[in-house]
Amino acid sequence: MDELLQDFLVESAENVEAVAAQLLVFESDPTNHDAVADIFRLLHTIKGACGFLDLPQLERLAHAAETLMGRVRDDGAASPQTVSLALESVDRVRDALVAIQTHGGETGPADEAFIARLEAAARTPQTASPPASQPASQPASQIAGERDASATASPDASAILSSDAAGIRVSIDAIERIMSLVSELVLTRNQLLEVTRRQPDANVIAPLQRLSALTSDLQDGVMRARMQPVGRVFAKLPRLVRDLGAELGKTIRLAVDGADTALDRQLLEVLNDPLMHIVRNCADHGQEGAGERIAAGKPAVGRIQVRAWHEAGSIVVAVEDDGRGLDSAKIRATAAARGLADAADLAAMSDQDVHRFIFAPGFSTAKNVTNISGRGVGMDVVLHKVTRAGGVVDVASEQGRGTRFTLRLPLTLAIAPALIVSCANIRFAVPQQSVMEAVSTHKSEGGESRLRRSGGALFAELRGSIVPVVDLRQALRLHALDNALAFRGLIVVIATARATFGLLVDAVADVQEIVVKPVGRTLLAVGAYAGATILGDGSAVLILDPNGIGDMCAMEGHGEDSRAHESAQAEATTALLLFRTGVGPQKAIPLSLVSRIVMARAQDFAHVDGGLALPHEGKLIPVAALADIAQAPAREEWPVLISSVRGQTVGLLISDIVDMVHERLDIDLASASAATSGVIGSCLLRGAPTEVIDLGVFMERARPHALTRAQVRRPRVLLASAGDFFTELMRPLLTAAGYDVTAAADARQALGLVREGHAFDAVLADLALADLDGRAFAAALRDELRFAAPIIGLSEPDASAPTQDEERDFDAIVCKTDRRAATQALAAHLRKPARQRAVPDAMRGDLVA
Amino acid sequence: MTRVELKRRPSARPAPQGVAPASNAYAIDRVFVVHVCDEVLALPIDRVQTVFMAREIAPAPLTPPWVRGLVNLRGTVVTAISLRARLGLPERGPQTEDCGGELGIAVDVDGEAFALLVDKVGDVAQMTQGTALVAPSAMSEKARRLTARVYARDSGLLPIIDLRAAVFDQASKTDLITQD
Repeated sequence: MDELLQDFLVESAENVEAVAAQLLVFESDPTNHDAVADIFRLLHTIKGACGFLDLPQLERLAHAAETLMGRVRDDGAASPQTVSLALESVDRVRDALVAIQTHGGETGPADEAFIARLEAAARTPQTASPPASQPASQPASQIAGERDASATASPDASAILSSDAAGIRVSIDAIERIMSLVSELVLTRNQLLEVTRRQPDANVIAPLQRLSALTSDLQDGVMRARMQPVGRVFAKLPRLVRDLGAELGKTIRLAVDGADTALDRQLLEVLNDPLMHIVRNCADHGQEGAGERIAAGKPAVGRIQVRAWHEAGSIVVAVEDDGRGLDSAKIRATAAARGLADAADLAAMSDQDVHRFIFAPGFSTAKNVTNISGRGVGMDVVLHKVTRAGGVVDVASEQGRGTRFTLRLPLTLAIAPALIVSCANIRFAVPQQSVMEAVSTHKSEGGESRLRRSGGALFAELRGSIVPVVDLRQALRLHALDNALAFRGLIVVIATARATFGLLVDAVADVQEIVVKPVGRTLLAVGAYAGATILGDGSAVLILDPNGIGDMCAMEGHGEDSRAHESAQAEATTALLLFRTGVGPQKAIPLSLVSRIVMARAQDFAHVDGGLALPHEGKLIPVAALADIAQAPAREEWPVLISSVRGQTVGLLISDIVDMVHERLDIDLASASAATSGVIGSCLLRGAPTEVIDLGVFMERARPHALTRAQVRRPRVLLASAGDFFTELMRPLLTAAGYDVTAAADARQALGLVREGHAFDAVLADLALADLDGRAFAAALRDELRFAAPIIGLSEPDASAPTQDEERDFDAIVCKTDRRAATQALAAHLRKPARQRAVPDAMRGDLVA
Repeated sequence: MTRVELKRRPSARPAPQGVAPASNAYAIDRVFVVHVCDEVLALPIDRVQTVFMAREIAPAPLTPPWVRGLVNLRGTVVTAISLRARLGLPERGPQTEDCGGELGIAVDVDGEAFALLVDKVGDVAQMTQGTALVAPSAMSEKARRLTARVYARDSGLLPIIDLRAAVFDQASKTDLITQD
């Protein structure tokens, strides 16, 4: 291609890239002079260059667009149609640049219809647009601020640009070629090392070491050359979010952070589609409309935050929205309807596991298929793409609060260190990235085994905590199992985003740098393999997929010899954890309620707020003490059972773990005082009298209302405040107390919400609302809207005692500075059936199913 | 490595009584003859990339029985498929190990690299296109499923392997002669 033309394309692409930020500013504020001037200048420059490069069609387009921007500049305003036209014209310029790049010149005539529209708009005097007609509009300063963090490259324009503006431009092909040569060089080096290890030759060793070091440096250098900021992918997001917002009629704010985090360009490509899918999902399914948001007590403007950072040799990209969150019930229903799991299993699954169904192919709970998403394609693509690249996708969601997707990718696909393990004389590679450590199955030489078999499942004790173990021999059916279970070999401790587990192998053969090569679909279908590689000795080995192995182990419940036998047994028996604590017989608790067992030292416990607490995974969790630490001061470690119900985590301090058993659970003697004693009933387990513990009682003791709060539906409270300091303080307090708070700024808004049919379980109203006094407000609610739920008045701290009239209108009146009184009044009035109103189901007690 | 699709049969619909139309009776099909046990089969020549000795085959657990494992073919990892297993024939005993591995025929199917393990390779045979028949019902069920079409030769029938069926267990869509 003509050098001059090439220069023009690169320069114009850079200019288009540079003006992208101004486009958004312009969109939200068409009167912004700087933005208008920048866009005008871009179009003008392109138009000028087109003249002597003989690109008449692009010139016409740029000219028409420039004329339009000139009009906007002169009128100092733009109608929404004009804004859209201007944005589209820049898009078209960019498309034209890319087309010229691809074909080496202009291919066809310009779109006359579009140019005519531009010209027509340029003839119309511009008036300021009403802000309401622009769903995606927001203050310019805000956008500019948010966008500072992100590079604003347009994807297509960046295709023209090479990697580094400051350096020389190298074609991607050249880099790729060097990279694959380096990869092969690394393999050859490994083979040489292997040979000299077997036949050491003093003459060769020194130069070989030098060669080896140089190869590593070269590999490192090339890898760095391939690194590009993740901002190149992020740059597409502002526009995507803007367009989605406009299309869906939602106002969504995008915040981007960590755009300069670098990763291999190959992974950048891998990241692109998944990221787009996720952001689309967040905007479409995640974010509610403004009305629903306000009703839910959230700011009207939805927020999507995209962040990237480096963490332990990988890059993590998190996409978080503050939308409605995943609907676990709906996902369960859809999963059951689609036959992905049976209802009983689904009911037993944690929400977190249930959420992973969204990654199943074709999975969608959306009622309406929109242009953007809902067809059920997308999330499976995300999972597929990311796991293929050796990455991990995770989703965490809280209903009503939002959803957070986390993508974790290796920094490079090209070469990665791996542990080569052997099992039944077959070697496998395990990506070192997911390996925490490898430990012997015995605690010391000839010492006690770490492994325990319980109810067909294998566990290992690891520094006081118990981790499930997958026997690779069994998982891959490498041999008919020897029932004696040789507890020999090594446990490779693997941590994925979802689980930590041990992998029981025969030996660790080596640590090698491997070049990951893809495997065919027959092998991928197994689910246990992430790829294959060729080792230094020239043999091909499979790369184990830690996620897949983890899933297999979860699915097969650690595998009995016969799965049929296991499933038949599973129906009748319950996995129980037997332990001893306090006085009386041994205790049992269903193992499914225990997420983890940790060993804690006496000094680890903290006494807070009259209770016991324990630091766990970076948080302080309340602990119900079933054993008394003070009685055995010499004892170093105490087992604590960790239990989580919908994000509410508590610990149960006990004396000793006895065993884990699979037994039929028939309560022989139901407890007479189940609600207070914490014992559901008693039975004989393996011949010993056993009390079955009601975890709910202890949970309630350790963290009052944890279970109530964990209910899907929290009581909804409408807070009508005058917006002063005290009522503002009330909101987080109520939220923390487990209420779903919707705030209204004045009586009009509050009444409007009730009139629109939003159901509230109670209303908290300031007696001095801005537009209506408290009594009139209460009367309006009761008389006009037939509102039956409790209404609680909030009085000024210095107010005189409530009058009789006020007491009649309100169910209670509390001082707004006395926050405790407010929550107490709410709790009291929600519990009693006030004014022919039924108690919401969520408040009823029976919680442990 | 060039990849050539199986040539489409000229007729858009299955020929009656299993006889292919004779419209292009003069064109020549070149096929690559292989021996598996006592069976003689052939592959379309343009699909054969190379013939090599698969020395070390790494087993791939949990895959179907005909997937023997993975093998290193000049830096590429290819999936080794046992044609014996596909045809329901017994695997060869271990005595063949010391003759330097097993004979593999490298093929590319839908962008994936495979090695078909055979006992012996034969000649390239030239068949007159359009003389192919559908697999006769006298063939074993397993063999029929792998067979795209059959040529009649003086020495007997020569089945042409449907590569997609052989490696993925699904019949090839590029061949329009159906098997029933």
